[in-house]
Amino acid sequence: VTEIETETETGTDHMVLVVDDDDDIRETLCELLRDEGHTVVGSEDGARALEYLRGHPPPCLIILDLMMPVMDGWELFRRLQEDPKLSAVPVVVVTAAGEQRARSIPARQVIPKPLHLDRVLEAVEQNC
Amino acid sequence: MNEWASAAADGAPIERPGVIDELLEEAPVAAQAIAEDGTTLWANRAARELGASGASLAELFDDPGEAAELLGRLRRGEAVRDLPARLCGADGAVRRVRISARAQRRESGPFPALVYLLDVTERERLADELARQRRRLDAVLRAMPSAVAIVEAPSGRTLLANEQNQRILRMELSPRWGVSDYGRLTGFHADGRRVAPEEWPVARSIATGEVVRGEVVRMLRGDGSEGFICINSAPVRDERGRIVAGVVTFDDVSEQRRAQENLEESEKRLQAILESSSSVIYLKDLEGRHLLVNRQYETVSGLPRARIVGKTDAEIGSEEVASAFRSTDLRVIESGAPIQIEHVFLQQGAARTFLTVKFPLRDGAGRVYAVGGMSTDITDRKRAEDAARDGERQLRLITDALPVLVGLVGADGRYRFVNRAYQDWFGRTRDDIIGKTLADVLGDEAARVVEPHVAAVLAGREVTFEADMHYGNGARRTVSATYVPQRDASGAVGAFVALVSDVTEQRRAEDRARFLAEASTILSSSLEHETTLKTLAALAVPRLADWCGVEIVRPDGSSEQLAVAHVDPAKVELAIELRRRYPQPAHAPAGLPSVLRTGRSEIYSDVSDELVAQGARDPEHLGILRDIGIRSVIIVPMRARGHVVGAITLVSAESGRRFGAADLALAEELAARAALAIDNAALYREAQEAISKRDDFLSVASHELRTPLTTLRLQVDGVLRAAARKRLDGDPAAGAAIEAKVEAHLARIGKLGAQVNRMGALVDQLLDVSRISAGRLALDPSDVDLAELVPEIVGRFGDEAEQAGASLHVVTGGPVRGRWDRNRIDQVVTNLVSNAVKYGARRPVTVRVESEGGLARVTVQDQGVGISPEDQARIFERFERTEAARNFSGLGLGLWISKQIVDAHGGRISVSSTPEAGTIFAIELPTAVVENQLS
Repeated sequence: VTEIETETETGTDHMVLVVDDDDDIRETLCELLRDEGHTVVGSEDGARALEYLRGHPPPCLIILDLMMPVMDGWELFRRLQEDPKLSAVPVVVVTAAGEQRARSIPARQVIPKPLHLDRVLEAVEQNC
Repeated sequence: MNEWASAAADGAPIERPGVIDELLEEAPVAAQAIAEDGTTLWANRAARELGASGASLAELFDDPGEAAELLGRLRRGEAVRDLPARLCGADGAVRRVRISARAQRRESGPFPALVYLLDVTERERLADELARQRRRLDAVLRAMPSAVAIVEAPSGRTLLANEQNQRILRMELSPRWGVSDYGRLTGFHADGRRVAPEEWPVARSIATGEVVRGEVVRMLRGDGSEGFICINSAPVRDERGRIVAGVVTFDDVSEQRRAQENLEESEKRLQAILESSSSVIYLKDLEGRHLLVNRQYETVSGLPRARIVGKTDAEIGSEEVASAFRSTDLRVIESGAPIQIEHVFLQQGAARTFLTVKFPLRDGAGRVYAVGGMSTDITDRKRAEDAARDGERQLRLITDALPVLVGLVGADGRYRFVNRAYQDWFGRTRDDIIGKTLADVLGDEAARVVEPHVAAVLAGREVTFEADMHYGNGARRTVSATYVPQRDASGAVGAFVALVSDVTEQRRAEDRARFLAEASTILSSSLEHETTLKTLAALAVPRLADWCGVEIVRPDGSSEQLAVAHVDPAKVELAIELRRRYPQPAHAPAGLPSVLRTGRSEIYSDVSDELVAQGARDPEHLGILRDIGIRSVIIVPMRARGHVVGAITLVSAESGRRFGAADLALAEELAARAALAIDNAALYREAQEAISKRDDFLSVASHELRTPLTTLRLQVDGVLRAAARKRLDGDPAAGAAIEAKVEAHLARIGKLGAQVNRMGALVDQLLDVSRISAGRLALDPSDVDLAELVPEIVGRFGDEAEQAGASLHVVTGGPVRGRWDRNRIDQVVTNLVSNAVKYGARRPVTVRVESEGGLARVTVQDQGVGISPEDQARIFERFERTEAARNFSGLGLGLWISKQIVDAHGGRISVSSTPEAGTIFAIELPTAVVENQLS
């Protein structure tokens, strides 16, 4: 059963991909971003996110959690870097794992959890 | 007469004129006429008395031969005169006669011949007697030592003289010399005038009858030598008193004279000595009267000599002193032996000490006839001796208190002084050391060791050396010695002071400390204790023992030989083999199993063969053990926190070394350190595991705590955001009442958001503390412009400041750039601004950003209540909160974390505050941070 939610109201180039295994966080984030008028796709782990990315046009931003089952954020990031189509997509890491570990990824930005909506929206505004 | 005459008449035809006959008959000379045959023809009375009548000559003579000779001569017509002959008298007595005879010169022949016999028996007897006496006199004179001469008066010619005359005078003398010839003798009067001939004593005796006794005349003797003669002379008078001769005797007194002169000379010298002596000298007779005193006696007694001599002590001094003197005099007289006395008496008010020697004087027969005495004032000498004794006593007192061996040794290598420590160390009395040589006291081997140092100090150099000494008493010690030369007044080194410390224990302790230090280094070099223990065992041989074994206890309680060391690898194999073949049972009452079981050390200082035999399992085992030649064994447990974690075994064998208490202590210390190392390694492993677990937990916990907070936060933000949008959109349908209700809910949700923020901050702080404590705070430096960052941070406080009623001002100049961890610096500034707003008493807060000489500075100034100096001192400590902060919530971690972050950047955070006037917090950061981690 795919958890990918696809809503294409404003086109993929304004689409934000939220990858987080925690349902509450992922759903809240998606809902709030949609409230702000963004197109959002949520994915519960890296493997599914990759699968989605490979079958769709690239999003304007990926909001990526790190600690996830099946395929974690680090692995997904590595795969994105290897993929010429996806390597340019901006990634904002949201993590509760501590900044130390988050910094092992040269992401555009790291926003520590608990997330302030303002900072997330700010990142989205900048990239989409 | 008639009978003789008639017989003659009968036999002789001669004529006998009457008067002639009578004359012949009475003549005192024996006369007879004899016939040719020798028969007596006639004899006078004297002849008849000689037995001549009626007999022939042959019968008359004692020797018939003499008669025959006389007759023969008469027959030949010879005259005989004074022919000595001996007649045989009628009474049988022999008479000595002189015979004169003459034959007749007639025709008829020579007969009858006339023979006259003169009886000389008496005369010759007297002559013999005289000759004998003369011989005796000669013998006496010859035997006399003195020269004796008898001279004729008045000529002075010598009648009799013995040989001594010429011997003494050493010249030929002539008996014919008269007085005038006496000038040939060269003699001098005492005044040097020459003795004239008539002045010689014998000349005076014969001239004037003077008797001269003992006149000494200096003479120039015949051989030219000078001498003295002592002359006696007297006249010899006849019965009428006329001087007929003089007798002179004289002796050579040159020797006596010289002896006398010598005696006088020596007496003079003696006198001079006596007079100039500083000692009081006197002689007393048996009654105590002074016979002689010297000048010093006068000086000391204050009396002139004249008042002393002849007096007793009682007559010239106090009775008390006199009685004391007398009693010692009597002791000398009675014992006949000298005595020595020391006494003190007052002289001009000052006490003086005199040393007196009294001695007996004996006459030729050995009887004591006097007492002599010499008293010397020894006050000064005694004082000097006392001072020297005091000096030595003080020196002794001081040096005896020293733990150092102190000795004074003369240039002759003999001891002059030693202190108590010296005596005690050698176990000898002072008297047994003083005067002895170094070799006597130290022993030959040690004496050889110090020899070059002694030579150096005697050459004038101070020397310090340390040496291992093998002393005569068998002790082997390490000593540290300093020799200091002692110079006499002339600058020559006459002795040296030896200061010696026994540093054996010190050196051993140093060796042990060094060994332990090395052991500790090895033990701390790695946490792999199995490797380090093997290195340790290797370190122990041969310094500590010939063998070293390390046994460790496994977690299951069994034990294992971890290491065994010996300088010879073959022996290591042997030890491993022994252990394999003869494992010791765990319940063994002694040895390694016992030490591991009980945790108590064991020491076998002297391992007897009996002990070895007890430990052996079989004859082969015993043989191997005996070959190893175990001498001494120490087994010490390694204990850590109450548990025996192993044991160290030290064995002495071929070195012959005997373990003692010090070795045991060292082994125990070594074991303790080894145990600590083992324990540390275990603890470290445990700690590592614990840290790893904690990190995992923290990681999970932070994730898990933040996840629900994230949702909460997002929902709150979402609601507020939606509400705000609705407000902006404006809902005309909504009534005022509903609007008011919505506003009330929004306010609650706002509070919910604030609580979520607080909770998030608390979680962050706790995680930071954990990280910092574990040394895991890592910085992620990037290019940061504080002039940009700080206003952004302050901007976030808009709502909060407004709520707190405080105004926030940011003052910046140009860009203040550096490489810092943006988020961490953000965290610090946020913390400071948050505090300022919180404690700023609703007054303005000013934040400044400046840079100055390679330093970036951010100051946050409030005008609040301020912080007391005590609080300022501890405000950066963990869990510390100021008095003011107690009114606010918080963990008291914010400033501590800020300080750790600033420190990690190589910067500084400080506070200055004036109570009731406000506080300034400042952080200074180097504009290029060193990339490091908090430790």
